[in-house]
Amino acid sequence: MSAAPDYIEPIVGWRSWLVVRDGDEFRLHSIVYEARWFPRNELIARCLQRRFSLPWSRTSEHVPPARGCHCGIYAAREPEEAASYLEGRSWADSLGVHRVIGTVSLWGRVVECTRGWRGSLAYPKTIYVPAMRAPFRLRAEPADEIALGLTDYDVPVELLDARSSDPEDLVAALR
Amino acid sequence: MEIGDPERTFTVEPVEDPVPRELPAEPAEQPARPSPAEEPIEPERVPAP
Repeated sequence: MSAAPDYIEPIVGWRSWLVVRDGDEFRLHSIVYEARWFPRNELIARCLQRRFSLPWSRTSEHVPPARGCHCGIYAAREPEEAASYLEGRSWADSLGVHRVIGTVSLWGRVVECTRGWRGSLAYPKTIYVPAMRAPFRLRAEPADEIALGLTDYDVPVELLDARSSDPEDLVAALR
Repeated sequence: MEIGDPERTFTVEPVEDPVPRELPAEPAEQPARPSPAEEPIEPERVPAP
C-alpha cells in the first residue's frame, strides 16, 4: 500500500526554456541539460549527476530528486531567477531558435529549496514568448510563429511585449 | 538554476492531471442496428398437412 501524498495540488514555479525546431514544429528544451519537453506528456526527471561527475564525487544511485544531489526538474519561486536564464550562453544554443519563460507544474517527489523546488515530474503551465530576442541570437524565427507553434502544449501561450530583451524588462512585462 | 539549499522533501499527487492528455479517438460511427422490436419477423413455416 502506498503512503498518502502530502499535497494534492501541483507546485507551480518559474523556469525558462530553449525553443528548438523539430521539422515544422517548435518544442521546449531544457537550457542546461539534454531534455526535450514533449506536448501532452510530463517530463520525468533523470539523475544525470552520475554521468557528468568525476568518479570519486559521484553520489549513489537514487530516485530523483534526491535531497543530497542536484537532480530533478527545477522551478524557481520568483520569475527573476528564471529570467536570468533568458540570456547567457548554453551548449544547446546551436539547437535553439529562441528562449521563453513561463510557469511549470511540478509533482511526484519534490525537494523544496530556499528559492525554488526540484520535482520528479513536470509539465508547462503557461508559456510567455518574448517578442524581442537577445541581440546575439542569429537564427531568426518570428516570435508570433513560435508562440503559435507552442500552442501544441495545450497550455496558455502569450507574446511578451517588453521594452527590450533584457531579463529585468521581461520580468516587468510579466507583472 | 540557482534555487538555494534543500529544506524538506514531500510528495504531490494532483487530483487533476496537470497534463492535457490526448483524448482517445472516438470510434467511427456504425449504423445503428435495428432494435429487436423493429426487426422483420419472418413468417413461421408450418409443415404441410
